[in-house]
Amino acid sequence: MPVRAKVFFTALLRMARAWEYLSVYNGHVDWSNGIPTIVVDSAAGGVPDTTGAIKYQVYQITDDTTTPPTAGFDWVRAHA
Amino acid sequence: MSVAFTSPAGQTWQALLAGNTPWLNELTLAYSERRQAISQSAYTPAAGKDVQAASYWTALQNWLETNCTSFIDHVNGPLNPAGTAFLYFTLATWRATAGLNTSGFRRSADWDPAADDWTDIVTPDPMFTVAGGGGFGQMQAGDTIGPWIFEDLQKGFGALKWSIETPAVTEWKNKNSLVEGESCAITKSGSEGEFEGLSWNDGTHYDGHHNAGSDMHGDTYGAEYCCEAAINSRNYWSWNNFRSKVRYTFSAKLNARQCNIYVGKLCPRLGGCVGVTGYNDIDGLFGTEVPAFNTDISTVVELLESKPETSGSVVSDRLWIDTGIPSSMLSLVCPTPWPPEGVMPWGGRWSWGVRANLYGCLSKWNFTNA
Repeated sequence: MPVRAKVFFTALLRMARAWEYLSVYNGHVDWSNGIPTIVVDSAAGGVPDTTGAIKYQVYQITDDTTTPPTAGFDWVRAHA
Repeated sequence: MSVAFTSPAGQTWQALLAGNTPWLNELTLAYSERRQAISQSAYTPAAGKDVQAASYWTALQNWLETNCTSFIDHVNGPLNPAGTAFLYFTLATWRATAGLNTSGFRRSADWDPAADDWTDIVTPDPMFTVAGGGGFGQMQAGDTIGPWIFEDLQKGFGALKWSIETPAVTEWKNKNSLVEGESCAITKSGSEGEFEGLSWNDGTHYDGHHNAGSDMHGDTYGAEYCCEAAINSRNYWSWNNFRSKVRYTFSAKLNARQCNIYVGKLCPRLGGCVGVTGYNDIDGLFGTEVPAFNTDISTVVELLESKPETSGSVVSDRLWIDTGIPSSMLSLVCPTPWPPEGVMPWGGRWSWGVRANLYGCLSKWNFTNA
């Protein structure tokens, strides 16, 4: 298929997978250049500390091609 | 009472990592609590903390491997086999107690859940030994942030249970009566009479200590608590009664802990508790004398008292005591029943009593998770 159509199709697949697995926690997915980024909503609560809500973020889903086959989900790899 | 960490087994990475998950929150809190247990600052991650960065995880892993040696080995301790000091974890004993692999944290970039369950540590799953994809040590870029990362950190923090607190405030007082003359009876009655009327003096614990005659000056060495009588008859009679008392206050903490006060006790003079000069627990504060203690000057560390669990301040005043005149309580009499001048190798000098210094509060922590 044409290159542009292939890129669009891949992005659509990734978006579908991301929404399938990422919608369970307090955040949403931002897309940039076809790469999904999980953004945790700021009003979603925090760890028990004295300063208020603390958030953790995972910024980018692992490239599918480097992820070993799993039981239905990809795992996150550490970045530098 | 501490509760177990939430198991990461069977969780997806979304469950473990995305947002304010119990696994991340528990690790953050465990890290912060244990930092404060050894007088480091509280830890609060910045908002939007990137938990996909290897540096986030290596910070926790490196802290554990560096600071585990500041915690007491609660399995083999709290004292070393000789009973002369606290027994701290080594990197190896901490790993063993935590149930980690002897080479450190598990790491893998090559996990196939269909083939590996990641739970084997002693004989590791292949994912941790495969060339180019697995190993042990701190996280590296490209490693999978799998449940074993959480589990090893949980085990590492969970093994850190006891540490040593030092007092925020130490109060010290002493009184000292030294009377010299040509008569044993006169110096004895003079010292005991004077001692009874003395007020407690402020000072440091190295002041005016154990100075029964010029020959005894070389025996002066500091102690926070002291109760002793010393007599010198080398040149003329010197009769010395000496007491010092001490009170320790430990500051309030984030977590509750049971504070156990340990002291190191010493013979009343250098050279050891030998011959007629010996250890004597005049106030009855300490445990049974051990044979080794009576033959050399090694410090013997022992539990003085256990305080109820609290996060508040703790005051130890058991050594803040005055039960009387040392030489009277020892029933020392004149003329001396001791060997005459020159018979004993060090001359006519004798001392009885005990000295003690604080070794610290062994805090058994009630952390949130362990």
